[in-house]
Amino acid sequence: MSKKITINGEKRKIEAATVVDLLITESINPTAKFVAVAINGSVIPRQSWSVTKVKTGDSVEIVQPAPGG
Amino acid sequence: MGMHDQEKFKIAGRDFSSRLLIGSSGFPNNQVMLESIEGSGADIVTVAIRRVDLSGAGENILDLLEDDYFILPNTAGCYTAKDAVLTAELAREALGTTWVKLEVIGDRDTLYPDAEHLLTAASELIRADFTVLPYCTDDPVTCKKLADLGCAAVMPLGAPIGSGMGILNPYNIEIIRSSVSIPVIVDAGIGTASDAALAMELGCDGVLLASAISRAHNPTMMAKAMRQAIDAGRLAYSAGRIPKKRYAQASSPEDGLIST
Repeated sequence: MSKKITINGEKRKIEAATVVDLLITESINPTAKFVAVAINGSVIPRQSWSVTKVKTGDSVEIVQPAPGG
Repeated sequence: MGMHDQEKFKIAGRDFSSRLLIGSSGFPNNQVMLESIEGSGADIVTVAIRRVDLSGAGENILDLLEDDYFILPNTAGCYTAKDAVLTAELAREALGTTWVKLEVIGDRDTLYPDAEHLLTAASELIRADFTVLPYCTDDPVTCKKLADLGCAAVMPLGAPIGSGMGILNPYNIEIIRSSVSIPVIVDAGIGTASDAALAMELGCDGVLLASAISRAHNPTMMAKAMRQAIDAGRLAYSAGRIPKKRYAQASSPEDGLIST
């Protein structure tokens, strides 16, 4: 069953079970350096991505470094 | 750092070779950014933390910078302590660094720091073992509080971010320098080389700037100007300037003058 989540401010219906599944669905390489993930305001450490479940209602932030002053 | 500047520039016990810290934003392209950063002599480069573009990931700026520079992530764009703390935690996860340039903005037009949220966020991050370098107002009281909390440096603004107006209150900057024992780095407001030199002449330990170089007509040339300004200003500070006086003091000897 698909789950309704918010990812980087966009509403999505997803099938992904874990953070790793979600990243793959969004065409983000889960082994890429410099990527960080937070769910509902808490950072999910990279080593937990494969076991952390994504649930309906979750708000997911996927970030990386960008030019900044 | 100039060859005559014998004092090491240290933040949180770590030595740096340049007193110029540079932002990575606003450059016309990556090539100009890399040439400018190299020409500036800086070894600390700041980056922001932003959402990955879900429509297709571009290249990561860290691929260009990570081998050659000490990367200092910022919390630019955050308006609450909560967002700033989470951004710092995401930066730690993404970059593997506990260092953070802490920014908590209180107003969209001036981009002035929100002192209350800044102190709250600094306190929380220091408890979590972050090395915190806060961007703050040129207010000696706030700077003292940030130092007392355990910040690794204070980074008072010279003028609003991107304004290029220079150091609007040099007297405050001097008071801040004399009232804290951690490095004082002027962050924001620098417009041209003389502004950076003034910061150093006032006794500041470093200068952080972005727009002054990246938005200059010729960024790579301005980067070199800033490098020289930092060196010249630091040397002048170390050399000890003459006091200002109301009246002239002749530089030529007064003995042996002819008389008509």
